[in-house]
Amino acid sequence: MIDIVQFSGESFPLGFTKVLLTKQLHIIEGGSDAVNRRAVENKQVDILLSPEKGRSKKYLHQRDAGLNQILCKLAKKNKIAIGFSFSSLLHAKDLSWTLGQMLQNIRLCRKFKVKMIIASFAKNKWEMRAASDLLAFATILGLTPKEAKASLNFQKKTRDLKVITPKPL
Amino acid sequence: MGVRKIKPIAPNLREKKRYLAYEVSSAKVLQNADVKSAVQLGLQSFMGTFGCAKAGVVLVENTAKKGIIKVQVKYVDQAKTALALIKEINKQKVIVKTVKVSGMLHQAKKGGLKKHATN
Repeated sequence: MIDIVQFSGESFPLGFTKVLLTKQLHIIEGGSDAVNRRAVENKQVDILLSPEKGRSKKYLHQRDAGLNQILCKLAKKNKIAIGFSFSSLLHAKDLSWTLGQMLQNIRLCRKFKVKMIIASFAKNKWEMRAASDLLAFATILGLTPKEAKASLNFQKKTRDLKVITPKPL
Repeated sequence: MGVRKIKPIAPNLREKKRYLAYEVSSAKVLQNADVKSAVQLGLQSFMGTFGCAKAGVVLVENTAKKGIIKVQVKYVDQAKTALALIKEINKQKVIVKTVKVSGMLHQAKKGGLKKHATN
């Protein structure tokens, strides 16, 4: 299992086979509609992290979590994974609301078969959590055990290279 | 005549439980009671009062470094997440990680101790 963190330095032994730095990947942190849209339209992006971030307005008839069917289809087409950060949950002002937003995004991602990544995305070593705990967290969010395991094993996108063979003279 | 006891509930009708051994990592030494109250509060705030009642959460034993809670099979993941969401005890940053899940108390104790010794 692989964890993705935002700091470099020593960390606790928490049962991960590998710890990746966010610098090593092309990650865009979610936010406004425009940012989310631009992220899922860009094929160079690996992960759109926390599309629900900064959305505290509570509507009466629907939950605004930064993703919809259109963005999900684009993410699927461009092979962009949606990232769910445990660290953002630790810092959430309204934990239940953030958890609800994550649940909605997971539901959409599962429906449109978008790749999901669950990691700590810790800013320091105290925000890291054990692999088994993240696996339990993934299960809580509504993933099947197989999906939960896959979401903790991130593989960097391989760029599709076109091989051009020269035409015979 | 002695006191008559009612017949104990049949094993197949009992709630299926799991023992969760956890470990607390912190920079400074914590108090036993503080860890206990933090775990209890963490479980209550994440699962809610009704959720805790359904899950049959029992704090079996704990020290400042590790402990064991009993929870129903269906709620193991919820309890694990609740423990993982504890970030501070007595204004000190902590990591609470589950070390072992077992159906038997002595196995949970053994597993927790074994893991603790290797780390």
